[in-house]
Amino acid sequence: MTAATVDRDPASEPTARRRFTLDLRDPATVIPKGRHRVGAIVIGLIVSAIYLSRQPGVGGTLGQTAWNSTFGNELGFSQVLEITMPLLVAGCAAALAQGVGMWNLGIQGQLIFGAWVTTLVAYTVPNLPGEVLIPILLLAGCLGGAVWMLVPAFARAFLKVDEIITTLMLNFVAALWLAYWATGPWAQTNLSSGAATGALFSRELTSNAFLPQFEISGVTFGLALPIALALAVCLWAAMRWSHFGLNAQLTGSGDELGRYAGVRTRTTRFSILLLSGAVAGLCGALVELDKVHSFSTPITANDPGYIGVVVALLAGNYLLAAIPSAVLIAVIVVVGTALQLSGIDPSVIYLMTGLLLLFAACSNLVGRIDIHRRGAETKPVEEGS
Amino acid sequence: MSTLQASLAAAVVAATPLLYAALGEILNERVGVIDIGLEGIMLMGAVGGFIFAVKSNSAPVALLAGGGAGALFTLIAFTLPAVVMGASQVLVGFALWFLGIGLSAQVGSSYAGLPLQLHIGVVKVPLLHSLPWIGPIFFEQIWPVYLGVAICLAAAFVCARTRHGLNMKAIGDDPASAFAAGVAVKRWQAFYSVLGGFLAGIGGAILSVAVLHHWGDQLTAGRGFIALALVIFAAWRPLSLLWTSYLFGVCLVLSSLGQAQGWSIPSPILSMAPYLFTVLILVLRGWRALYSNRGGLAPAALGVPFIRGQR
Amino acid sequence: MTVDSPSSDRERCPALQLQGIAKRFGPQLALDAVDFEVGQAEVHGLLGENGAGKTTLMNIASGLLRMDEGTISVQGQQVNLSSPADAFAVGIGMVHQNYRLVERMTVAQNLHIGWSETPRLASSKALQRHAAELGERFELAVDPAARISDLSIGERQRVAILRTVARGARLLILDEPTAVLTPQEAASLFKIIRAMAADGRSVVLISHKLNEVMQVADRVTVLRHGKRIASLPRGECDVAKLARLMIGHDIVPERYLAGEPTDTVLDVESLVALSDDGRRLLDNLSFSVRRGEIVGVAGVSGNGQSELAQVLTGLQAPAEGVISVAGADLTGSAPVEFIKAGVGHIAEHHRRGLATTETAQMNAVIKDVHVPPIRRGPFLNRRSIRTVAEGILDAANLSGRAGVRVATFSGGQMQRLMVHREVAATSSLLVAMYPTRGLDVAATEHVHDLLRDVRARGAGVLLVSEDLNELLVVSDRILVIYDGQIVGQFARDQVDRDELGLLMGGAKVGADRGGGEAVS
Repeated sequence: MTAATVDRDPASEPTARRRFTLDLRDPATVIPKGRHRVGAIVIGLIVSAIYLSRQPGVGGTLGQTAWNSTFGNELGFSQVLEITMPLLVAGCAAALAQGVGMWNLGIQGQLIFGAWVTTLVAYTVPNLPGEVLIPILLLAGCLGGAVWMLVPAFARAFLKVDEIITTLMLNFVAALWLAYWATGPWAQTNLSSGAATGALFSRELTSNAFLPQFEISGVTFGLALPIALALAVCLWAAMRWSHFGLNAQLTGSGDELGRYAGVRTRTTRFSILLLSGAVAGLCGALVELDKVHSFSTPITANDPGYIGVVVALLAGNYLLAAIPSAVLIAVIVVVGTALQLSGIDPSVIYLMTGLLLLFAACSNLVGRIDIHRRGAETKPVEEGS
Repeated sequence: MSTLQASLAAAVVAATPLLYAALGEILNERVGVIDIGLEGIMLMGAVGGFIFAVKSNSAPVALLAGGGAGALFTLIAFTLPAVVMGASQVLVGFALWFLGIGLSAQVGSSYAGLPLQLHIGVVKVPLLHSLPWIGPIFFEQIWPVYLGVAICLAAAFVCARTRHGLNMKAIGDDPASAFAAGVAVKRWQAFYSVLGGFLAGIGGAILSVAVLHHWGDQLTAGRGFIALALVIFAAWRPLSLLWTSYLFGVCLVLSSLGQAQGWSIPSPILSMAPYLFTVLILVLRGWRALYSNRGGLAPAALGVPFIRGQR
Repeated sequence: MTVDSPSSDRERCPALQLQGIAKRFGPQLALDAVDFEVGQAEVHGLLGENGAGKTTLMNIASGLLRMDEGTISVQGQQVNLSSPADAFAVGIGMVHQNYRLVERMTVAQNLHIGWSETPRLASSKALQRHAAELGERFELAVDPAARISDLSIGERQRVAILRTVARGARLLILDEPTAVLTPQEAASLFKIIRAMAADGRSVVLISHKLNEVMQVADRVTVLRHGKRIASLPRGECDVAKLARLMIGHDIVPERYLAGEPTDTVLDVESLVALSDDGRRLLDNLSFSVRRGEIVGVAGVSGNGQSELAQVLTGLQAPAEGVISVAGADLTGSAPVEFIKAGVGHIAEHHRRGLATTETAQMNAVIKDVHVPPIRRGPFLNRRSIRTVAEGILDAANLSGRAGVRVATFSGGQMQRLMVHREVAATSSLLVAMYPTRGLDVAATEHVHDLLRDVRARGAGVLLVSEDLNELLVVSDRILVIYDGQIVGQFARDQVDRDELGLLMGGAKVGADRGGGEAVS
């Protein structure tokens, strides 16, 4: 708030005489571009690679370690696929809410509660044949996730309570819920496996409930992976070709506009959030039935609930793009874990995803930058602006 | 001191990191900037504070270092992209959380689990500490507790009674109008986002150095988000923060209190208290807003990047 | 040449001199090397069509926007205005079209925001006392404790003017100040402007209304498409000449064309709408619109027009009363039911009626997606989306831009898209809110023709406008709304402008409620 500077010296050029001027465009007129986002992710990866290769114990071996631990051999690739699955499903859950301009930061909690309901059903009816039991359990997971979302969704849609904090807080509740059941009523009696690592385990499920595993030329994956891929494609198609999807899209442009366009925005918001929760709950069921086979802390290994949000953000909330995005993050997770042998703390996974997210958040700025040269060709205004 | 008194006194200390972080966020949001990455900033403050506590063995140095770490981290990873350049505040805040988890663990990996012997001065408030029963709870605390209260009172005064407080409110409610009226909108938004980082960093340092006395990955366990909820609960008023943060402090120590008192409720269920309480409060507040006509308490332009000359 | 003393030298140099000002918004050149000069104690009219660059030029002079090229001199000294605070410091103050007051704050608070002379320790009582003093000193008194959101438009304008003069503005810029005033309020504003000039201040009056510029300005500068066309003393101007300079060709006055009303299509009875805190925003409204009829609603904005449109399109449920459209009772129905009943709604601002992050194609069909042929049960027919959108975009002269996001459109293109979509969606009633706001003369006439087309198709039109000339040239019947009530009603051939203005200002409420018995 300084007083205006008085400038009468003809030698010193006022700022307005610069050869180039740089402006930031009104963000309302700028559409985020996919290529800017991809570019930002690449830059983020390069920065991460520079950081890692400067660590003692890694150095020039980074590329080799990265390749060998992921695509270089069957085991590594199987691991990438295993980690991709929950990230993709959680990413879909996040993208559904974010596509309508809301945040589901409670995927972790919905995932845990989905797994809890799955476990409850599996313990109750252990003797059903797998073909019947597994679909029931997956539905139970969806139900659990939706139930966990019920309060935040209702509060957001009908009471306009900000969903960021309500969904997030329930994650911490769910983690304690898991701790209670896995140490209390459902605790495993022989604590051989988990005690050493601090992980908590419940009794194992009946083997009828295990998802089938496949092997193609050394690469193994569970049925959960094709289910996850199919889910992403189906959700994408449904949101694109259904009246509900269109209502959601219009609601995403704001309540006022949605209502103007004849959409029941509150119901739409409520349904979308419940759907997002159901998908997150399904994620819990899939993880549990795929490899974990009990209601235990490993179902939240690599925090799919939180990283799923990043998956969706990197994908620009576009459901199909969640597939490559999930694979990318899975690769980062696998490489980050492999680098432990070189003395790198596994928290580097968070560092890298955070960095990618930061760069992706800034990528929308690229389109706003507007540099023009003095006297450059510009077309005159044709009408009111 | 009875065990109940001891637990309630522990709640005061447990509430202090929340108080600092939430106060920073209140000032931040009062000028229209929302920073949901408090959790990451607190982690940076916690690790910075802990390292300097180990090295210097001095509480003021540790707290300043924590604040400095939080401020620097916020400046680079939040203020520049989100406030100065106008990227989405929620997105950048989210990234801040992840960066904070990763960076603090990278920096602090060799300090994890180290014991800390740091003496922080306990101040007995004259007269008040001899009050029956509540004296030992509130008035025989370490000095950062009182410093927090003092900063809170000062912030409340600035917000309510000064020209600067008036300008802050104008920025938060309508930045375009504030700018047209001659307020340096971006400058203050940048200033308060960094100050918010500084205070959250101090909060983190208090947590690692004075509350938990150790450092470990993701030490804050969601306290950054609780602080975020506290801002809403306190209705963006620094003065209300004094009692609301204490209420949350009690929730935080509830499980240890339960164990000490031999309650039959399992400890994980008691530990849910602060989180469930937050959700409950938010929902009730939303419910009440339906039937009241006071309008929103939040700054009207919260989270909207200010673009000069936008029409 | 005589030797001047420094003070009279100061007298002779212009109060404000802009030279070679250029400003681009993205690829668009909004101002192209514009020169502009305001003399001492001069009232200077800045005339131009909507979108000519008038406001942009003055935003630069008041420090709100940065220019790309050019120089600014104030009282003969070159200055660098990088913020409104800088402009205040050299005595330039601007009263923006929307006043830029913080709605949730009081008058006293608004006067003191960002002002270096506000005391550092400022209790609300001290501020209110100071505000009252200022109001008295400059004869612009407003209750200092009142919240801006509770003030009328005219009062808000007074606060904004008071804020600039209290800060010692020697040059006052008023952006379209009469747009939302009744003719009587405008006349009293002109008195204030003349008094300021008599006091030695300079005033820039931004306007697109020829008559008012002729009435009050000493000198007129005309802008067209971002270029300065002319700068003339009032003596050399007449309305026809200014119109030619402003538009680029002679103006052909639009003529009223009568409609042929048939049966009632909208019937509203004792409508009441409440605000969140229980105030009656619509107070016992009853009227009807017939097919083949354009009914104009005159009034200063903020008197219930927005709520009326919301209630008539289902966006807000009325607290009391009955709405029937084409014989069907739609009271309390959801917006989608109104859309299905063929009620079109040109929203108050194109940003409220368009999803700007979506494509033009999507925006063209948002009113058609709830019914066949686009909706097929739970699914959508993408091919009909394309054909329906094509029809609307062609009519709006936007063919070939179906895949473009609306955010990149100019304001005029957005308005065109919305108007054509709503016209196409109308089969019974069109609620047109300020449909020509921000459009130039040619586009305005085109919209008027569209409204007449809707009428000719046998639908009714409810036209809400704050421009009396527009209402007079298009409407078959005019209602006057004030404070949520219909305070008068005129058949087209019985309109008395003075009485209309008085009614709009609320002068005759209660005294003569019968002033406009149903005339048809």
